[in-house]
Amino acid sequence: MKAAVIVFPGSNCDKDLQYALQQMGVQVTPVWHGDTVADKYDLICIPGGFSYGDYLRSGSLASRSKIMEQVKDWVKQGVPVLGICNGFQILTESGLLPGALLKNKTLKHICVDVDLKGHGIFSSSDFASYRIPVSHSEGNFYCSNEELDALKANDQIFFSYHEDINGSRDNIAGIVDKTKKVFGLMPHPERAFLKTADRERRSDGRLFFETLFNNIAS
Amino acid sequence: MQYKIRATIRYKASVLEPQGQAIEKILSSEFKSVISSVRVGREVEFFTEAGSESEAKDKAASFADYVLYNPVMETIELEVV
Repeated sequence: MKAAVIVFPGSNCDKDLQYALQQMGVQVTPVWHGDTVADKYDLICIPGGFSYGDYLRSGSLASRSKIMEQVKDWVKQGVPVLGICNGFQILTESGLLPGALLKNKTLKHICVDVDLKGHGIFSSSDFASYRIPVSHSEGNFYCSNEELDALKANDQIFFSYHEDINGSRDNIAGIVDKTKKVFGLMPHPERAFLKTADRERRSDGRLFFETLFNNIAS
Repeated sequence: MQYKIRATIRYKASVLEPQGQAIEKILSSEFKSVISSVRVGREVEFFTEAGSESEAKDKAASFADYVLYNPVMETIELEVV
C-alpha cells in the first residue's frame, strides 16, 4: 500500500503518522502542500497539528490550499482519505465531510485518553473497550439537525465518546462521508500505536489502522 | 477605485457560543442584572478594487464565500465603509 501524508505549515503529527503507517508496512510519502503530485496513492492522510496557526477558523486556510484541489480529485476517483484532528477540521472546511468543529464548550484544550464507542466498521468486539488520546481545542462537532439525521441514517458515525468531553453533538468523535471513503476523527490513533506510548500498554492505535486497512482493501 | 469593506462574522443563533458564556460568568453583580446574551464574533476589514459600490459588494461577497466564513456555523454581514 502507498500512502501520502499531506504536510502544511503548522502540521505537527505528520512524523508520528508516517511512523505508524510505516510500521504497518505502508510505503509513505510526505507531500508538502505546495507540491504538484503525479503519483497515485492508495490512501491520503491529513495529519493533526495547527495548520496556518489555526488562523481564521481551524483548518480553514489549509482547506483552500492547492493540494486540497488535488485531494478532491483523488476523492472523486475513489481514493480513501483519513484526516486526524486538524486533518478532520480541514476535511469539514473543504466540504469533503459535513459539519464543523467548534471550540470545546469548556474553552480549554483537552489532552487526555478517551473511551470511545466504535460503530460501523469499528463495531467489532475488539472495540468494546477502546481508548486512545485526544488533544484539541476545537473538537466540538457541530452540524444541523438534518445533517445529524443523515449521518445516523447512513451509518456515517464511526466513533463516539462514551462521555461528553467537548460538547460534540451526540458525542461524535469520528465520521465518514456517504461514500464511506473519507474518514475524519478527532482522537489520535497514531499516538497510541506503540505499546510503550500507550498508558495501558495495549496499542489500541494499531487496531484502528488494521481495521481501516482491512476495510479500504476490501 | 478602492473600497473598504467591513465583514462581521457571527456564530448562528443555533450554535452555542462559549466565549460569550464565559464572559457572562465573570460579570459582577453590577452588570449581571443589566447584561445578558453576550455573543462573541469577529470583524475582518479589507480593501477591494472595483468600478462601483455594487461591484465592490459583489467582489466582497465572493471573497466571503471563498474563505471568510463557514455557513455551517456562521453568518456574515458585509458593508462598504
